Amino acid sequence: MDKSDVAIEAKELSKDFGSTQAVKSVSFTVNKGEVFGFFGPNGAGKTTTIRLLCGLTKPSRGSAIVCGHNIMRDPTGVRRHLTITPEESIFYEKMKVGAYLEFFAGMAGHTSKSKRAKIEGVINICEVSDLMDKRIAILSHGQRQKIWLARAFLSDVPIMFLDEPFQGIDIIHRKVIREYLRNYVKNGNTIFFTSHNLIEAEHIVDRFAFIDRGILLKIGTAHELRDQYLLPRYSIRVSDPVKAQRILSDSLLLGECIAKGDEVVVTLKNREDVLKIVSLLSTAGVALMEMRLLGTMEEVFLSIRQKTEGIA
Amino acid sequence: MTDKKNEAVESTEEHSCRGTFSMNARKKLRLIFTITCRDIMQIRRSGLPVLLTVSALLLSLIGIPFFIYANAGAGFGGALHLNGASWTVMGIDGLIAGGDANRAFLSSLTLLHLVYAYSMVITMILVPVAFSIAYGQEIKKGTVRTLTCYPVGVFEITIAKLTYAAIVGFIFSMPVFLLPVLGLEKPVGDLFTIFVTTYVISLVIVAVGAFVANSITFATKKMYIQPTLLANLLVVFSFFTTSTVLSFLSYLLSYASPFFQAVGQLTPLSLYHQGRLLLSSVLGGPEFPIWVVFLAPMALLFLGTWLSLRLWPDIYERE
Repeated sequence: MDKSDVAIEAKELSKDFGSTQAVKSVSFTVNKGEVFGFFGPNGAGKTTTIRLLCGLTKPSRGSAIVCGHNIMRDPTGVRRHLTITPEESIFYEKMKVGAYLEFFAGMAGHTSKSKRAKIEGVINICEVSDLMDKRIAILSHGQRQKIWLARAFLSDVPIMFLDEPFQGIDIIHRKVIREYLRNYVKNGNTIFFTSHNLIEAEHIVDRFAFIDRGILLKIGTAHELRDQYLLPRYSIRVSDPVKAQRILSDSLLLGECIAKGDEVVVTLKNREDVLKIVSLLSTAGVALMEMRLLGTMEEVFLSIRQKTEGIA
Repeated sequence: MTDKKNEAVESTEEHSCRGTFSMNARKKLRLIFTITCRDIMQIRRSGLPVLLTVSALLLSLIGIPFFIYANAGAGFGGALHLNGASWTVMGIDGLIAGGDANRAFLSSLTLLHLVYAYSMVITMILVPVAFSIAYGQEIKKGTVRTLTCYPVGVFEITIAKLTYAAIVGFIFSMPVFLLPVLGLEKPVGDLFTIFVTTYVISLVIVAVGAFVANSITFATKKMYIQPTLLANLLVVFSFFTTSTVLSFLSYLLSYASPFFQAVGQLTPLSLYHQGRLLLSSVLGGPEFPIWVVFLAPMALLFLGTWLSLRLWPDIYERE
């Protein structure tokens, strides 16, 4: 990987709060043009890591390069290249949404000329045009979250740090915002993403990193991690589930094979056997309508956590 | 040839370094300006205008009758007759002959003392109040942490809030000062000089308080004392250590307390006291300030700025 392709490089980053080690010697790189997901349970060190990378908290040890800037040497300068949505949204409650966005457009470095167009853009993405004249104090949780995201989207920067960005946002708007974020990374920008909702995160994250009790446990794509930590489990919707169950059990080495409703759930002991399933069913005259790989990233995380219990 | 090339490269690099520095400085100034503008635009939402208007009205209610009363020759048992009095002549043009200890205080007063004290009280209330509300509320409500999501640090935020206090403090205190004292038939330039001196001193004390608090935070790694609190404490300290205030308190209590005498040792450190002496020398009086005392706040501001630039924004975190 060329150095110029790296957006974030953390080198043995550590943070102590008194005798508590919140982040323990964490090292990783985040590439330009990817959504990097950072996951873990409460108190794992996700938010602290974000704060370290954004130059908001001084590392106890180690360092990081963000957009070519060393966070130790120029912590304020680093923030010229990134935008942050901290998990806890804190507002100027008495301000109207329009004035709030205008203020932060100024903070994002927009001139009076470019402000208007940028604000219009984020209003459309977050669909908050009807809220512009309302005071923030009277908004619902979901509306506030949309304004919180809109504030972050005002910045034209190459890195976005999103800490629990979708909490409180309805399904329709999540989809629109997800699309915006996908387009953002398509242009070579980077997103550092944290959430407790791993199922949601799978829609957007390119690479997953799991942290627990300050220790970085594992990094990889969803595919790599599933292969490594979960047995291959498939849900197969067929015309005759009972017949399919019998054929597959007789022909393949399976861990589990259950017929329920119009589907069969099989756990393969040999990963390559997946190629045989289609031909076996086809030869037996069982129509295959749908085949899905089971196993969520939540299960992956739990498996990783279990296997690394001793380390963490 | 190569040397010339190297010189040219160095010169270009130097220029680009300077260019980057000035560009960054300009960007930071713009962010400071943006924060100050927001505070000014949202001033009515902070409740500050109500507080400042009430303070201004109360001060005017004291100031206007006082100067009319004293001007008419009725003040302090007929001792004061301000109209036409010189700025720096003791006992207001010799109208006070002196006598017992209490009258000795009155006889030591000049017109400058009275006008300066009035201006000092106005600015020492309105400037720190503006600063405290603008900055204190941001820290208390945590909104300052949203500001730190942008390329501003503790130093820039402190400067933005001081700028706000300077603008708002000036707008509110100027009319409150001028309204009652214009009737003194003194040159407006003199009055303006007195006002500007107290205003600048109040602002400097607030700034020193804020930056010293930041320095303490830098040393202790935790915000044990908020910039707004220390700024207010320093203003109060500087007010109560002026020789006039100490003499006035002795005059009110009718005895020379050892406590006041002890506090009186600190009088030379009071910027308000030195400000009055400075004005006395400017307006033709016999007193002169101790110039070196003005260096102390400058040194503290310099040190505070240097340390504030090294503070990480996590000092605003609630633990």
